[in-house]
Amino acid sequence: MDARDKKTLEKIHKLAVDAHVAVKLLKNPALSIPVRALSNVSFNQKRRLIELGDSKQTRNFFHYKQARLFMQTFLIAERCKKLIEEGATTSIRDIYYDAKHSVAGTKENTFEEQSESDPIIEDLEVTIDALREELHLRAENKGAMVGPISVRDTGDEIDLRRMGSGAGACRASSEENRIQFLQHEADFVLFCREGRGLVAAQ
Amino acid sequence: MNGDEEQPKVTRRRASAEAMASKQRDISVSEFFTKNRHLLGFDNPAKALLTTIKEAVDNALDACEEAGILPTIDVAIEEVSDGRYRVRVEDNGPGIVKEQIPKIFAKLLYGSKFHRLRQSRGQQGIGISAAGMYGQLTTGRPVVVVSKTGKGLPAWRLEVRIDARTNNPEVLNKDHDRTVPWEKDHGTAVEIELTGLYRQGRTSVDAYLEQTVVANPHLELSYRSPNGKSAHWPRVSEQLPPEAQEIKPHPHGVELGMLLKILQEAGTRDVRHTLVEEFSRVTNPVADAICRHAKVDPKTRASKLDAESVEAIHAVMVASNASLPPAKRLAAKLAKSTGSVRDEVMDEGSGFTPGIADRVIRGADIDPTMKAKLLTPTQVERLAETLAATQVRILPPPATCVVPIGEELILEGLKRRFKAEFFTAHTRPPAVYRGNPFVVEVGVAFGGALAKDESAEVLRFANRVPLLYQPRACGVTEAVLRVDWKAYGLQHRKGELPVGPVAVIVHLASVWVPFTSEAKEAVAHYDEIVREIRFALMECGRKLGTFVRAKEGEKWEQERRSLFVKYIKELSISISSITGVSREKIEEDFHRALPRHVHLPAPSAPPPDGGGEAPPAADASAEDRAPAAAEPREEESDPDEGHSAFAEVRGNTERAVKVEKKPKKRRVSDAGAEA
Repeated sequence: MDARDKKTLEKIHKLAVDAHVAVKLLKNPALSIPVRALSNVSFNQKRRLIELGDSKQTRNFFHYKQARLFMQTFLIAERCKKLIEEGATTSIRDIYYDAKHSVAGTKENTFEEQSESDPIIEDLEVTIDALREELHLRAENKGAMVGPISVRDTGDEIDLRRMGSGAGACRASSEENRIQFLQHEADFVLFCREGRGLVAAQ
Repeated sequence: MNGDEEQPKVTRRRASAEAMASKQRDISVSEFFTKNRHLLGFDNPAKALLTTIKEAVDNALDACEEAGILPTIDVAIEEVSDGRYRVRVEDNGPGIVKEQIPKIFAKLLYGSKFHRLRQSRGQQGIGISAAGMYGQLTTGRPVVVVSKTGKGLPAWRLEVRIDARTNNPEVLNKDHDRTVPWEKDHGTAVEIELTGLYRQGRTSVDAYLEQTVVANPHLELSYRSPNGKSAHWPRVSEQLPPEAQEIKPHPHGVELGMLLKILQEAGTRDVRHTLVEEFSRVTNPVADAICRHAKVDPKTRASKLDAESVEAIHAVMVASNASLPPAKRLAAKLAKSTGSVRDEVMDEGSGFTPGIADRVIRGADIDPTMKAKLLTPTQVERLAETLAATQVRILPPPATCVVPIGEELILEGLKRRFKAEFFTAHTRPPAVYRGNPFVVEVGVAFGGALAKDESAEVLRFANRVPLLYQPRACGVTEAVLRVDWKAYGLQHRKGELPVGPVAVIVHLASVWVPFTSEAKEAVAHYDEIVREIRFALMECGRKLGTFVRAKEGEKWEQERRSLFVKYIKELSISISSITGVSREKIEEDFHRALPRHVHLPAPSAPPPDGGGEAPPAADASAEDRAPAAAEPREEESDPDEGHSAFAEVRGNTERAVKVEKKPKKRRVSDAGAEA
């Protein structure tokens, strides 16, 4: 367990303690979740990144429409805590299956579909300001990269021109500690969002 | 041949006045009603059976109340043979003097109630003798009456029959002078055999008796039906309704013929004295004012007045009851009208006859036939002034002559009849139609065992008598239809009865209930009456609406609560696993906070401190929780406290249903990093 893991664990711990303290004071436990919507993003010229803004939405437990989401958020948080402690990493599909069971005493499932758990994971990420990797989760690889670019992926240099008839896979996590762009001869880079393709052309 | 055939026609046409005179003779009332028995409610066998019982029970109740006796009535119907029934109604009333028995039971239009203005069930003195006549007509059997007027006095048994030609009673049994043994101290029993039809449903005898009990909480009733079932309704009120006082006619409602009769029979009295003594609410100044307006000397002998003077007095009396809307509103309405001044005044005003309208309009120098929209505002004002100038202010009749059931007893009655959750009742202050005072009372029952998807049940009563037939023709029904029930949380389509678990009872008490026919089936549509009923219904409706909304709020809160309870366990496991605090402790903390966030009735008790008790199982998911909850917790609603607590619920039910924006998009910064 490295320092980053410890920090993430602390954040999860704080989230749970805060909820418990609130309820002990007879208050309505609340999560403050940054809003992920077009209205809450702006382009950072300096970093050349689209960043989330400051607006937050509140998720309460004692709220008819939010109670289930609140419960699900902690269910995911608990699973992530275990992953971090065990030093294991799993996919978001796995964690969906892991966390899915019937709600005690009912026929209702904690999650009905993966489409229900995925956004909860995102909620957790932005709420405790942790990257998905820091929660020991990864998304499925999606999309491909091709063209006159070389990248270093966890130590291995890959020339994306020399991938045979295939292409280099877009890793689910493309953070700088994993992937570095080495060099390129591209005049422009075409990025396709849906399907997440990256095409560099001369 | 042809000529022969036409012969009779020709002779008939050429009947001389003398020949016709030989065929002209009296029609007795009995003969008239033999032919027109539908007018009295004997149109079909089922209705005949009901009407017979209704008349007998009405008479018994009237007699008991007049004598100040708490009524105990036994009703028994026995099927003698197919389609032939013997009806027996026995009461503990004051009994009937032997000499009167034949006339009361076998002479039409004989009774004590017709000539007086006083609230009672019976009005005309036709009912029971008509029932007897119907029985006699269909089975040939006489009416058997047993009556006893007091302890120690003899009981008599008479078999009586009506002579349909002469409307005179006949006593049939030879031994009518012999007394019969009867264990009762006093009372009357009447037995009628008739062809009829016993059936169930809205217009059945059973429904009539059930409803009679609702409107007469002081009545103890036993009933044995033809199929052998018996029912007993004990008394719920030991209090007799206060005795209705007899009143004199009120000038507003008097008819010309009646006025004429009163004046002619005044003997040596002068007009002023006659008016004061024979009418209610007429004092010396009022009598003088009437005479002044009618241009009659108040000191002339009443019996000497000529027809024109009588008519003038009558016109003043009736005109005093007419009213117009305020001048401004009237002018606005007339401006949009299409008819003549006369027609519009009669439409917009109330209490106008064509004669009065003409007199007032002419008095204001306006031609009654001109178009009303051409009137100038000054002319409209002059109209109002002229009307006021021709009127004498006469107080409305005293309300002591009308006896309502009372809100409390209506509630009792409703509770006896309906298994519902919510009851409310309202009694209006007395009002007047055509000079007759009346009081409207309304009760509403809601919820419980009442059918949810059916039209509301409307029980109509007039002077405590249930009205079962012709609901559509009744003014009461019209009033129910004209209330906007949607405003009170019920489903309601315009022009129809509201749909929902609701029952409405309407009672109209009056000295003279305006029925649409002699069979007393429906109340006439007098504006004043319909309006009063509507107001009373609206008053009850407001209370009903509060209840319905509170109930919806409560249901919603129950739903929220069980949702939270469902997730608390799951959430506690997660939080426990992250923080290391025991699951039980966390669950308990959540349950302690729960009542603060669910607004259910009676959360007054402070949250119990410490202790390891879990809350009671409110739904399935809570069953496996630690069963230490021996003491009832505050979130359990107390059924008895229902009403008082609802107000509180309502205030707090601001439903936090902000539309949740479910995050669906991928993290936006991700995409940027990849580029």
